[in-house]
Amino acid sequence: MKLTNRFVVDASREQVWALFDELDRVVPCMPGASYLGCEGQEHRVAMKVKIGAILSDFQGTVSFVEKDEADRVTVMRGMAKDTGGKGSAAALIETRLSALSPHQTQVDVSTDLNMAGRLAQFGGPIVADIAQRLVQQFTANLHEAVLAPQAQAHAAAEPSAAQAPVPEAATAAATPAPSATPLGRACAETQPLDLGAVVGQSLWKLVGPYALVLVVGFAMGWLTARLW
Amino acid sequence: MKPARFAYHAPETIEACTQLLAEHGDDAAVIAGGQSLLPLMRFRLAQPAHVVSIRNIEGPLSRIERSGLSLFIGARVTYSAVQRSDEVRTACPGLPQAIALIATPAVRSRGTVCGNLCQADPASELPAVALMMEAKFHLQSTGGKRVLAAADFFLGPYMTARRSDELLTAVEFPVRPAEERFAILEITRLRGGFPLAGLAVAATPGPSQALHGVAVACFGVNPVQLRLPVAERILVQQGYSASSLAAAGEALDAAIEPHSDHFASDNYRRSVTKTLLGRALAQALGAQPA
Repeated sequence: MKLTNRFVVDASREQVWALFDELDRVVPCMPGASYLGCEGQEHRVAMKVKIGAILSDFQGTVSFVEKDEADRVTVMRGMAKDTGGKGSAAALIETRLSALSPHQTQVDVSTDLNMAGRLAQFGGPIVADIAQRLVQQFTANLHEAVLAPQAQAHAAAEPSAAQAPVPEAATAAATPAPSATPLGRACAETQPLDLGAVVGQSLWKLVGPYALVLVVGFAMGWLTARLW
Repeated sequence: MKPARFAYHAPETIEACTQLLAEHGDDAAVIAGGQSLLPLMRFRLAQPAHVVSIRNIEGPLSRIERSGLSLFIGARVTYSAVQRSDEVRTACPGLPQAIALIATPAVRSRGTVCGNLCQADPASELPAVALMMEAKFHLQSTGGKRVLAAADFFLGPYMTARRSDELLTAVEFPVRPAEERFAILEITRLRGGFPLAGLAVAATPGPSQALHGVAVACFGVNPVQLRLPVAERILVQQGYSASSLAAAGEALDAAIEPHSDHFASDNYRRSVTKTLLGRALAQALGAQPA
């Protein structure tokens, strides 16, 4: 299925383009997602999603198929499998950047999503809705945790030495510590960001522990109807 | 398929239950009648490590209670108990009408109203009824109790504001005025199946074609059930007429975002929901528009 999402980022087109080289900071901005590392050209990612009683843990990879500097277009391929065996997903994600102003960029994401397995049988109408919610949350997190600190790049940076990897968004106990703040980014230094607190805060505010790429949706109702 | 392995708990008090939920959080699922949870578990879409049953918890959870201007339906109260209840019939006659559309008698003898509301399936009738009647949701956890308005409870498809450590102990419906008329209609391929479009209306008629109050909510045609305040306002301001109905239909159309699937296209859902609005009002008021 085809999904289209559009959002605006308060940063220059160059800044946003540069973020494609920092997936380790960007991926955790997606609610429930974590960046696990990279092996050559493949970035390993995980995404925990909970819809009602259905908890899925998707593990997979994302790699760049195309990176057009001139037109600021990227095409990424992602593949992930649910560790519980509920299904899998493959996606081709095309992202286009257009400058709205020197400090504002419009990001257009076009996703060709294929789902297989049990989740796919029930996949359906709510994917688009969930994707939209995720994108909204992602944009908010991106601003709060990556772009705003970047804008203060020359401000004193808090030490970030031993940052734990981003906790899964589905961990119910992830109450953010009141003192946790997005870290400033020292010039010319890539700090691993602990976005768990930020993601946790805004995520709980918005949709609780439910965060998603894949879905069960209406077809679950359809399935249940079939059982009667 | 059979469910994946799980640990089963059947606490005997609400406190013991919330304790378990606090302990296991996202790994726990609450089971009342199981009519929403068990199909998911059978297909291993849901694989909770801990299933916490409320079957042994006595007290308000198993009761329908009318208290002043409110009707409380406890977490363990089944659909059929609500259908049979005289108290419900007098206080909130729309509820049994909506429940009659749900599934089969077998399912209704075990499934619960609160379970249905927690499942928050976008095609379900009861969340729409809860929204239009401005029901209140009573939640309890080890951290205390809280009450949420229906408008704040349903966040999205299968998403509610209930935290994983909370138990919905009861849903509270305001007692309906005697003059209020209710109708609920849906389009479904199988009787008792999940509807592909549905609409419920509660209207209090005035003299001639006037309407003192209108509540309208739809289900199955949007990622989450929707109350339709703009359509309601049009009907109250202009009364019950063909032109106000047309305007309300336009407002309805603007508010919903139906999906397409192999049962029906989004356009069909749009078209049929407008038709249901007209039919539901005609049925509730017992008359065609002026």
